[in-house]
Amino acid sequence: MKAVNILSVCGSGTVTSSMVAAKLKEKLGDRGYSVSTTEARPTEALNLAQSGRFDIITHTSPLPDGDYKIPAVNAFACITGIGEDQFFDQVEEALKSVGK
Amino acid sequence: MIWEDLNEDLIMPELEAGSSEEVFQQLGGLLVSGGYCKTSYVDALKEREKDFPTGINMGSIGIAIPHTDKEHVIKGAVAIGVLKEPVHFYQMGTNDENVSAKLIFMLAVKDPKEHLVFLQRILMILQDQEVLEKLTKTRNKQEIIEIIKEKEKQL
Repeated sequence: MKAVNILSVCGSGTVTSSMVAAKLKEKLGDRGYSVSTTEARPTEALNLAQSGRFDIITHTSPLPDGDYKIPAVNAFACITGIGEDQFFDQVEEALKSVGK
Repeated sequence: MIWEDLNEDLIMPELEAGSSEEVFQQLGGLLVSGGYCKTSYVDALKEREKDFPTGINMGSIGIAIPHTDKEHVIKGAVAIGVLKEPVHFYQMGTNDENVSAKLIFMLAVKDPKEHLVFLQRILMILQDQEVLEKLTKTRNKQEIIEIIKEKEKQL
């Protein structure tokens, strides 16, 4: 299992980011990843992303402009379930792009 | 199981509302009067919705999952509204994509870590088009609970 840290961002930093985090753990688990997540609000995202603790960001609300230094993937598909497989492909690609 | 925790006092079939604000007042009002949320909850919903919309086009059915910061919540609950006429929301993550919401799942979340299973189950219910379709056609509270109970049996 490859251990990865994902920053999950949504408007309140609780509800939808937690829904996404739960799915990430489940589905990426099937793909051989051991996933840790931190849920955050958009206003907290830039600082957290720059902390170096995270491999990628997933988000259901737009991220404020800034240099996040790590890949960000839109996670709205996780909420609707429509296009979810493509979403997890994108996440896996993003993880590979940072060497995970 | 979610259905076991559903409270008929927090369900509004045939909800009449002309705007998202009216939805917040009516459904949010139930959460406040039931002791689940502080009086600040309804205004907090309105404020949050402006910045971070909660409408979702689930395939052909529009829904919304209004919620707000945990400091306005006393204990976790879900309030369900089936709208008589759809109400306009913006789609989550956008400020220009429209959602004609027919179903409202208003979430009062105190501790997302503790409620993770609950949130996952809500999502599984919402992602089932057939269940949404049935819910939009119900006229009474018990039926709403039954539909969710049936769905949860399959999970």
